[in-house]
Amino acid sequence: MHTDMSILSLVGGASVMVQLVLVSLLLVSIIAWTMIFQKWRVLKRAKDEANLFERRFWSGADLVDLYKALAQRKNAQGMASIFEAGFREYAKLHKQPGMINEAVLEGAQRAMRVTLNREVERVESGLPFLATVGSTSPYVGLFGTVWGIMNSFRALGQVEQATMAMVAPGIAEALIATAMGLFAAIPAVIAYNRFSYSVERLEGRYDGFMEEFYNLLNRQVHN
Amino acid sequence: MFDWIRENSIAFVVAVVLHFIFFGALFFNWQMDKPKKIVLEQGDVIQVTSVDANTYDAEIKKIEEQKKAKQRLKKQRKAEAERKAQALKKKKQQEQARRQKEKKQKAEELKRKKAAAAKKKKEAKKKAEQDKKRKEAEKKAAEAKRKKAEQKRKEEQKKAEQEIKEEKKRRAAEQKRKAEEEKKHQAELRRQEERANAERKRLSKGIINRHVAMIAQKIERNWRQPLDAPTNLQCKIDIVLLPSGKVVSVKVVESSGNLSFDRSVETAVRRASPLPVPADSVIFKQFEVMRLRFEPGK
Repeated sequence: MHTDMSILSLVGGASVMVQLVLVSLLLVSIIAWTMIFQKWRVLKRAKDEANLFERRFWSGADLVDLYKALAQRKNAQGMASIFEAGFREYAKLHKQPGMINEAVLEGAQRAMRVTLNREVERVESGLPFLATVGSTSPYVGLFGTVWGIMNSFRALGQVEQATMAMVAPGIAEALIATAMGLFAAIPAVIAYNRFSYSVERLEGRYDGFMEEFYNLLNRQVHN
Repeated sequence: MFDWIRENSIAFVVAVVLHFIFFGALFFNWQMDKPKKIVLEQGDVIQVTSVDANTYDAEIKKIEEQKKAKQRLKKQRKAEAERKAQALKKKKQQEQARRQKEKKQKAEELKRKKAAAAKKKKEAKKKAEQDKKRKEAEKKAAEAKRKKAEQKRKEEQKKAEQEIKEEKKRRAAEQKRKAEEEKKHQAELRRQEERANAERKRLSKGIINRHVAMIAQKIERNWRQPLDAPTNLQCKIDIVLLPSGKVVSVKVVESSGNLSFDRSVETAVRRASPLPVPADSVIFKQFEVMRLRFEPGK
């Protein structure tokens, strides 16, 4: 009567639908974790870069030199790219004759706003996937469990004397699907919450920098 | 999608490795963590002495009946033998009477003959000498006849004796045969009895085994491991049961050394009441007082 109750044998004995659910959940979990690592790296780098740039920006160095150095590197990201876009637009418009100061400032601000949106979008990408995994994979797992329990009860209806030993393995293997769903969902939810908070803070910092830089330009224009 | 994975190949590889490690550990742990078991050793189901005396009431009754039947048979046989002996005695007496009668007859005849001879002698004396020869011849003839008769009688006697001897021999043989038969019959009876006993024992042993397993399962289902007890404990308990399976008392006779473990086992037995005991009252006697050994975590 003793049945092998290791997870492997349970998965092997499960119905095709349950196995399908398990495999898809495993794939989703792997992708979610890939995304978690990737986002983590991206956000950390963005934060480091923002720190570094702010330090350089407020160190009192000449903004033209700073812009030239950044333009040469070309792969400016985050705060640096916002500064670059704003300064480039400002320089371009400032050189044009007959430009009123408000238009120059507005153009620079628009350019910075666009870049900020692009940067935030880049950092933010993939977070909706994590949210989706976090909210739906428990349901997918539950679906597999319900299906598996349904099957085991259907098989049970065809025998005259039902024993615990006949129902238990079926239910156990069906429950693995729920476990798998939770296994995929929990890290995804935690990561989503943490990353969306980080992105929000980063966006706030970009926004703040943008305002400060705009003030700087404003002062320079009206001098 | 694939592009995205290729772009983040390092993160992807790390994620895959993480999953492998996690599930590998899970499988390994799961296989190590086998379901706990309570071992109830069949050998430890003891028979209580007071139960032992009247365990097999029906069996004893049967044996007594068999004994009675045997005695009856013996009596019958004895009566038969007596009857036979009496018949033989009667026959012997008859024979003797017959022989005595014969003897008497013969004696009378002899007497008569003697008288006749005397008479004849007298007559012969009286008669002339010429008759002497004839008389002599006659006498001789009579003598021969007598001798012949004597011989015949002797032969007859001899024959009768031989017959008796033969009869005796025959009877002895008969007796011997009967004794042998009796012996055989008894051996057969004993063998049958033994076989019946073994069969009954075998059957009841099967039932006992099954019920011990069922009881073990039920207790095991009702057992909760105490949090503060290690997993490798074992203890022995005595359970007193009613025929309905209700637990009358539980007692730890050999403690595990851990009080909460002992108590958890006692609680499990009480919670498992009524236990699935056999309906047969004779076999139930074996379950009236049980000693079980609990070995979880094995």
